[in-house]
Amino acid sequence: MAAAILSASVTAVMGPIWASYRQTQVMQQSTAAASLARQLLDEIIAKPLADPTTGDISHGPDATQLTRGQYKLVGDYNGYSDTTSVLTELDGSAVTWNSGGIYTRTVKIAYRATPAGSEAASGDFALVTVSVKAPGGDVVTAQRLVSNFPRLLLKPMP
Amino acid sequence: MTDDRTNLIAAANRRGFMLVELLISSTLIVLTLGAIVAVSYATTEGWRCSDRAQTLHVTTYRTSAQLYRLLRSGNYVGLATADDQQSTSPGIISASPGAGAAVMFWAENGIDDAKIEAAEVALIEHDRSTNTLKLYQLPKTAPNANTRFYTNDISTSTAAKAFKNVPGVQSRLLASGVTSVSFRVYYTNDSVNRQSVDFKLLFERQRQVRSEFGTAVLRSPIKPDDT
Repeated sequence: MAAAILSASVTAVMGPIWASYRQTQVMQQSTAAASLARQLLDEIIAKPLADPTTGDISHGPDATQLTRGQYKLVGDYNGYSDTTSVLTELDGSAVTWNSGGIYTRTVKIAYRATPAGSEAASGDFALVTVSVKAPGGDVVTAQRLVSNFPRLLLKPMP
Repeated sequence: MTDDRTNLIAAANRRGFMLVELLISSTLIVLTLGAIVAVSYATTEGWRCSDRAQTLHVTTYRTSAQLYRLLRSGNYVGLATADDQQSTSPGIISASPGAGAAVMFWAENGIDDAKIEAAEVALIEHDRSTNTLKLYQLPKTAPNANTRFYTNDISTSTAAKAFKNVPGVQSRLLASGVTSVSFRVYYTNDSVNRQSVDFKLLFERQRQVRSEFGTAVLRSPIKPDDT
């Protein structure tokens, strides 16, 4: 009887403690996942949507683009995936990830004819979606709309 | 007489605890107390550990957010090095043991003339002696705020050192507990891609370690007018 009461008491005490720990862990993993998504999003939007010479767009890397350091256009990232166990910078140098667990990132590029339009085979706009799966299984998704208009690219102002 | 006899019988029927009963109850009390102490200790330790991790987590997030804000709003990045590196001429990185990572950039185009002025320059440097990340800037109200700077003045480690010695330049703490920092700039003088800066940070505090990796793209890049 005493043992039963004791085990029930321990269970009652440990339940909220475990829930609190789990909540903290989920929050930290979500923030780390958001950080990874933000990094990749910024890297992608540094590239032009269309080739400045030919105007061509991309639906994924070609056979010669084996690493993301070789990507030239936003669309080259379509279908890209990596994990924090082999995370690298653009030039291929390794990034040591000490923030716990393995996160998996995937990218989808969806073209649109208008900003609010539906997905199309090509267009002057593209919705970049980066999804990051945290070690606990939760998925964080970040999106950014990019457009194909001439930018101010390191040119002197008029 | 009758009452005395009744009291004697009642006293004879009254009995205390047996030794075995006392031992069992004592053991149960000890076990219960032990369990309570163990749970309390584990809870306290867990809370402390969680608190340390949470503090480091918030520090990492806050530092990253500040770097994104500063770099994204920049116009041109001249210098970006990692720990143990230096740049003696623009774009050339070489080893320099003991040197702290640095990123120096044209932070804002104050009067829209594409010309860099002293108060528009920002330097973020890793102070390895104190494990801190500091931001150096000259206040806009300083007498020398409008001193003209050129691309070369924000593109080398020597220029960074000179900037810190400019009269009036103030430093502001961005983060502490930073043990390793790396900055790398891409697409300098590129007419197709926008300039971006990779940053890698390693935070260590009270046996907790956390890393941060980010890429900040300049939202409105401008080639400085050096004429």
